[in-house]
Amino acid sequence: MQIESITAHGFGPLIGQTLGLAPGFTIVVGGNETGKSSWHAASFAALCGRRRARGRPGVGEQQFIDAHRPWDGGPWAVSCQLRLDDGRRIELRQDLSGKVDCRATDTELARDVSSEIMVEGSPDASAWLGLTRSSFRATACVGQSEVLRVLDAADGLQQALQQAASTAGSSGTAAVAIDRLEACRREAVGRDAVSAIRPLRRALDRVALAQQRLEAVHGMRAEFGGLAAQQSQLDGDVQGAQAAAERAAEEVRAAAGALRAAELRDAREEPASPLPPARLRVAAVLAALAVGLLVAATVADSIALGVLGAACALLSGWRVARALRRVPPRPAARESAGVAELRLELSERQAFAESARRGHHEAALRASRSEAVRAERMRALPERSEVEEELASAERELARVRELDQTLGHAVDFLRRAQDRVHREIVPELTGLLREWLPRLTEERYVDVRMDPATLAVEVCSISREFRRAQLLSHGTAEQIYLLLRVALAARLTAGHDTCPLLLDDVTVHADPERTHRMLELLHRLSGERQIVLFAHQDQVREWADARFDGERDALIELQPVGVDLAMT
Amino acid sequence: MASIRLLLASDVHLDTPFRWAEPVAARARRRALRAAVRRIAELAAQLGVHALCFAGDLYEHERSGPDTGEFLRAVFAEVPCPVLLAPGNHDWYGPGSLYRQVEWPHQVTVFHEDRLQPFPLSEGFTVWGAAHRAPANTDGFLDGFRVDRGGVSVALFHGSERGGFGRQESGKVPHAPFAADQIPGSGLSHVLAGHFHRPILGPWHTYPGNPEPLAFGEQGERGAVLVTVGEDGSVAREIHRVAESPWHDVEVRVEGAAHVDQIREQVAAELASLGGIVRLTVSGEVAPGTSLGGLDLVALGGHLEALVVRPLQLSVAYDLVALAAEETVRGHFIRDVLSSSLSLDEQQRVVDAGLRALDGRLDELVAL
Repeated sequence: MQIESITAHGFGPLIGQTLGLAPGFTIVVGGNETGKSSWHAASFAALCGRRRARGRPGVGEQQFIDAHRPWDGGPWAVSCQLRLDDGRRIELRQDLSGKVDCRATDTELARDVSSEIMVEGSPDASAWLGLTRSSFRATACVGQSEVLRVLDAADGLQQALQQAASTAGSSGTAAVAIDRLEACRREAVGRDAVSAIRPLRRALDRVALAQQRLEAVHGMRAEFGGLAAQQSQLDGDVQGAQAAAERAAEEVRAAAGALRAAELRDAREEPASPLPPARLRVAAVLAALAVGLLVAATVADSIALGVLGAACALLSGWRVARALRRVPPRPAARESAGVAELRLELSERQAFAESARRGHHEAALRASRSEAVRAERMRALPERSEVEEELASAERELARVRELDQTLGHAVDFLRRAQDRVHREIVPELTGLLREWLPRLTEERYVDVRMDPATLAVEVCSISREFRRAQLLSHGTAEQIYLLLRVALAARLTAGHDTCPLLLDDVTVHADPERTHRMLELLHRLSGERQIVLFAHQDQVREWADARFDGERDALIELQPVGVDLAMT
Repeated sequence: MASIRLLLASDVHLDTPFRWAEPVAARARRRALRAAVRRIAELAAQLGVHALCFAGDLYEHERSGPDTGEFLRAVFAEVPCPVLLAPGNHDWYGPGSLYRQVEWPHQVTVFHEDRLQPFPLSEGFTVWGAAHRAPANTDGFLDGFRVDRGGVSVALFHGSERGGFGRQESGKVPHAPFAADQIPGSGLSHVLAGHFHRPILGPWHTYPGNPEPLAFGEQGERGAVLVTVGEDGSVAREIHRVAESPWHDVEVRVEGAAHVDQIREQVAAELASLGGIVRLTVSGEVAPGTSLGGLDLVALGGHLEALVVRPLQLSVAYDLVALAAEETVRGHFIRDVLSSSLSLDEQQRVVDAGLRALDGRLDELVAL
């Protein structure tokens, strides 16, 4: 892919301006207030557009909006002319405000080809490169901060390579991701060991405890059920004992009745008492007389009759008493054999009834004690439903932790395998490229290079056959190696797609004149294979370009302060 | 015989566990079940029915205790008409069952035979009832049954009508099965049945369903059913809702939310007009930069009786097609996972975890 021109219809301070780019190396030079950074951002926006999504934008997107909305408040739009490797010429228009009027048009056929590169709601030319908006930014757009990071950090080059290999530089490295996953697994899952204290162990303990409680509840309910059955039995015993006691009491009553009847029969069969009837008759007459006299005395109100009546009554009583005294004493009663048997039976039944009564009393006592125990257990009976709910909750938590464990474990395994494979594949490519370029760039000071497939650490070999870590080389050499590797990675990441152009923003700003010169030479050579656009502000860069550019493949563009027309030399 | 009015309820499942709920909500639910029984008893009095009928699974034998027995005794003591109880497979009639332990008021009749027994409710009207005497393997009550008297007869029991079985919730086990066409053949005018939790008002049988919801996703208008049986055995039915609180199963789908407040606002709008008990499922995709740390959806249900938030089914809206095409570790990782033998859910989770790890956002994976 080659970017032929970028047009800022409205982008930050740029309004209706076009930047024409050469097919090889284009250097855009400008001082402060010339809109250099705006052109760099506009180039990216023209190629990739903005994703079209509902809702408020994220932080990064909001920063882009704030920085690059048209200062005059007009329409926010950019466009670019592209030539693809298959020869097609494309006009890409990006409506950055409403994100509606966005389209890619094949200018020769006047055909809308937006559908080929439609990503997240708007056309994204990085799709022709096999990249995404974020990976294009990380692969094709190189800023000064990245170069500085590579130079300043002890393992900056290695990190940058890992990052590019892992996510095309758009996100973290696989090694760090694996570390994060394993750390997360240690913290959020933990080991299944008795002494462990992490969520997995806690969830297992919680489930075990809930199961124990449920078993205990089972046991208590079974025991309670047994007590209920026992109580039911005891209640039955009480009722039985009561019935037995009542039957025994009834039998005692029956036996006592039979005895009395027998005794009466015996009594009727004995001779009558020799009470003198004559004396009793006199007494009866006297008594009747006394009653008559007393009634008459009351009616006649006569004291004399009353006294006489009383005397008759006393006399009657005296005669009865004398008659009774003269009755000879009754001979001792001789019990019949039947009465004796009945008396014995009554005695036995009374003993049995007493025993039954005691039995009833004792059964009632046992039932009462059992009922007290049952009532006590009933009060302590836990709600089984609550224990089941606790167990269900614990099992849910355990399942969640186990699922997380499994997910993290799989993610680590897959990431590690992918990392190993990609590193094994890219190491030969990168070392091959470096072996080709490094001797030429370093004027044969370094003649060989090797990379560790596990870590992508780069070592270069001097003419004395001594390998040194690339990070320990001079900044100038390290920069060159980094740029070479970026180009190599861009080539790899876009393999099978259009050639990826590189958009470099002030990557030489902190380099001394010698390093700047060497970097420009390298970029110039690389521009033979892909389009390179360098935004810079140093005079030495312009001077270098003035001296080196002599063909149609290269261009030096000097930006004027915003508002002044561009001049292309 | 004038028409007879019966109030039918079943499947209250007193003391059942609510495994999806936190302890406070679960206890509230069990209290709601008791409240439903009270309301049914009150409804029987208000409607002046001839009998209040429970077609089984009034309580759960394995979980209910004397307290539940005393509760039922007290409630039924206030009912001014006969209360007919036909034990089901969860409250089966056995030596340790509450049905045998409670000293029921005089108006309560517990059917305790595993074959239909008559209860003459009025001149020319008989209710035939039967009990499950074991938690399983109870034969159909209508097998070989034939009404042996004149007048109108209806049956009250807990059993599975074969035709309605497929429409019920999964995991339902058939108990005491019968076919609807057995009913007229047996001389019965109608069967008042329990066991199915989804209400059925069939031509020959009535399932009132569980009056108070027991699980989310239950469908159909439910409650206590006023069954009016005419002199000719015809039946008219009227459902009276007795549930304490409405239940809602709410799914909120978010698409491309760029920040957490968008999700909260969308969920809050969905919940605003609801009351009672809500189960919330939030699914969809969020933009890669969205932080879910402050989501705290439970706080949005303060006006509800209970808000059950299911694990978030949110994934980051990565363009997996584009990412998988990369010649990077990430691209290989995605391709490998998506072509693995893991289930689709597992693939989604593993890809999500790996991409979050690369982006440094694993904390949210744990939070999810």
